[in-house]
Amino acid sequence: MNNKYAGGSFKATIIALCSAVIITIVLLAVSSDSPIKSILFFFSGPLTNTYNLGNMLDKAGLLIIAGLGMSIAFRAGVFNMGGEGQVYAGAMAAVIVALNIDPSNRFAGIFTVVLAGVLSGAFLAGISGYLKSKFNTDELISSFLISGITIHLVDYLITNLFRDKNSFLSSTDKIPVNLFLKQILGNSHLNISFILALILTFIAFIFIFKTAIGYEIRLSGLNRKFSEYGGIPIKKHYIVPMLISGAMYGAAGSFAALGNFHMGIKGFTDGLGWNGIAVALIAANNPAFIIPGALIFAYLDAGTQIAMIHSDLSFEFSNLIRAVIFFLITAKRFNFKKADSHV
Amino acid sequence: MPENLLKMHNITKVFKENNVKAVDSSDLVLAWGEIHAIVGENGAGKSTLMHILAGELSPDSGKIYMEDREVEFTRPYDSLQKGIGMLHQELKLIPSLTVLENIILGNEPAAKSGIIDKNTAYQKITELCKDFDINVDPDKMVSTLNSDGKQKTALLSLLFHDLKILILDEPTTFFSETKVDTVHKLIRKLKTRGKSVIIITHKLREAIKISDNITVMKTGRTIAEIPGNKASLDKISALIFGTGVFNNLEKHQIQTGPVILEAKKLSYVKDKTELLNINFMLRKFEIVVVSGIKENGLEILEKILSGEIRISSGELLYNNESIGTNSLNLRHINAGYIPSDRIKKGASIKSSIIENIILLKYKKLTKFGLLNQKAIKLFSNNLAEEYGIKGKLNQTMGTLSGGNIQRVMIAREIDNNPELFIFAEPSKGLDIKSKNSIYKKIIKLKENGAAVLIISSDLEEAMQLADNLIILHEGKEAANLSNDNINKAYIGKLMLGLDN
Repeated sequence: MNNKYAGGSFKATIIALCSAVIITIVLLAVSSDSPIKSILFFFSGPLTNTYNLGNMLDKAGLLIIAGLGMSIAFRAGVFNMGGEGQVYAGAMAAVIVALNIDPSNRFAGIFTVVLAGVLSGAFLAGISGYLKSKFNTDELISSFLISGITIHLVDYLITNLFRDKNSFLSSTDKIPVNLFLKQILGNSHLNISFILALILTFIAFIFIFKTAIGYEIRLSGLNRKFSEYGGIPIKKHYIVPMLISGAMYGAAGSFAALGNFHMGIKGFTDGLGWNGIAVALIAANNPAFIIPGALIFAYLDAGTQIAMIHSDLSFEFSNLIRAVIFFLITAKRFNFKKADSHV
Repeated sequence: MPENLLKMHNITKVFKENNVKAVDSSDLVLAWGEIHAIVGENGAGKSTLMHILAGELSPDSGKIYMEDREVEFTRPYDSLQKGIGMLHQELKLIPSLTVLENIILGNEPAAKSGIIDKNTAYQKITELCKDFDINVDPDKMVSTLNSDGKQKTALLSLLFHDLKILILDEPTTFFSETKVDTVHKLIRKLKTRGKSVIIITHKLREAIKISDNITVMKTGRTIAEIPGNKASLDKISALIFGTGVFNNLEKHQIQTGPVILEAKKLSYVKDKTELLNINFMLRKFEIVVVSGIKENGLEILEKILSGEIRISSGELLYNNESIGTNSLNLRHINAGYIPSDRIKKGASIKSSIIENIILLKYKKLTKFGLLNQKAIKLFSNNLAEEYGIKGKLNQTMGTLSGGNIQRVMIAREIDNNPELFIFAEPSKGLDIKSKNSIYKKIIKLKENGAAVLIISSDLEEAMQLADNLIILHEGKEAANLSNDNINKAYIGKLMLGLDN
């Protein structure tokens, strides 16, 4: 892989990730009663059995899809901060459709369900893209706000309209078994969506670096004035990248619903939106690095979760680690990118 | 007491981006209470020299002495500490703060508790206003002021700093005639208070009228210092522009073709009249140059022709078809255009040469939506060879020299084979060799039948290239000349508005 596509410094990324690991170890050491055991679980946990490994990879697959969409948006200099809402809405749309269609034709059923998720994610992000191109409304703010509203709406749907009254969880009914995504590693959650994520990575790479529209998107992100001067439809390239990243978030949400949870649970896609941004930033917005980026992120995340389960650490601990990683990665590049694209 | 307040000696500044010597072994001496004007063509180095004095640029060599002591300015704060402040053409104010808050910024009078003592500031500002006859409300928000009020605020903040030397960059450009007198009065008053004032100006009459000494700069050098009472318009404009006659390149007289672009009474009015009743006709096989000094309408004309702004009145005709007050869509009519802002508009600095050079052609270099890498490589290689672009094709533009960036742009635009060509400041920031090669390309374009419009503030360039030369002064057409018997000194006077 050629460095010219990276668009960011690897050294800084590596330093940020290493710092995250060190901080995690320190936090584990000070907050656990049996620090050595916790640290060992943190490092080896995701690899100890196929169940842990599969679940880690499943998370990575979803992060790959979310991260790919974000990296395309970032390349275009467009900021989709509504990932949380888009994933959640995508997942919920998928669940609603899955509960209401005839599940007998498995392939067509899954296709329809995922399509519903993709469309709802794209729709939500598309609103911000449209507002940006039409009224120059800051897409960063509008997508964030729309996402905030969406999360509450979906919460409402799950806890009221679609609530499974027999369940103790705030959740919907279970979707038909025929629509579950096929598991591929023991009884872990790892399913065929992971393979799809790998294929999507390849497609995204071709799209952004090898197609005419990818060229337009990259140029628009680097220098909108120049792109406009060259006759590139820059207004369109506020909308298209938003649609793509929203669609990918929606897809990630529906895969999480079909492959892992099999129902809508309140807050069940929590964090996937923000973590997609972190993965895109780790990968320097290059699809070729999204896979390692997502694997690293998923590994750290799974490690903390497992260390948490096997020790006396509180549930918030894994959120704290996510925050540390996100903070370090974004501190390195995020502000700088934003300033850049608005030149 | 030392002899001089300020001495700048042998100052040189080379801009690494384009390897241009903006200031070349220049000197400047200033006494207490002296009004000193710096005059010269666009790009003569006036502003650069003053930015060095204001601590905004560091010189590559040369020394600055204040009261016979060597000083070194590495940032504007250093200069301010030594009592030197500059009033910029583009005012550096914070719109969301009040006039008072802007004025005291960086020099806040504070009580012992650390809280800003606004009363003292208010008092001092009111005194300054009274003293210098300036009329502005300190409590007003800067964003609510007109350009006049903003200018006053910026000026007050300089006065508030209690400086020894005030540098004023084109202080009267944005004022009407009556207001100009007020500015002059103020400058004289500063002198009576023992302050020294340096003004950068294009207005020779102004320079002669109010200054004790006039320094003339040309191509980065300070070529003459003349006492104000011994200066004359003729003498100075001859120094600035030289006395040569029309220095035409090898141009073959060609029969011109049909009219491609015609402007009828183009006007643009915003806060004031920026452009008034500009007419020109541009034919095939012809180069029309619109020239003038900065801020006299050239920038506005470029914006109009590139479709960035719409004209207020008048008409543009392309191929005899009126496009009314609509803006021209250069890409739509397949015109070539080299903007004056190369770095932000004419090139994508972070992209490769290839990605810059295929800008107008990438759609034709695709197969089923995929970029055809082979065709792109061939296309780029051919252009690079034909136009002498140095460097690897996947090198980023930002690493290239100014001349090379220019060649990439020219290659891209010419290859598109346009009938109409617009060049804004075609040789800005280029060395002599690159300049000449661009000129040759432009003339070749014309000989091949293109209609070429050049917007250039470089008089020499304008005269060398023009079949038809239009001079703008204060947004109006000062002259429309054909290419025979054009005398440099005469045009210089037209540009400066001295012909009457």
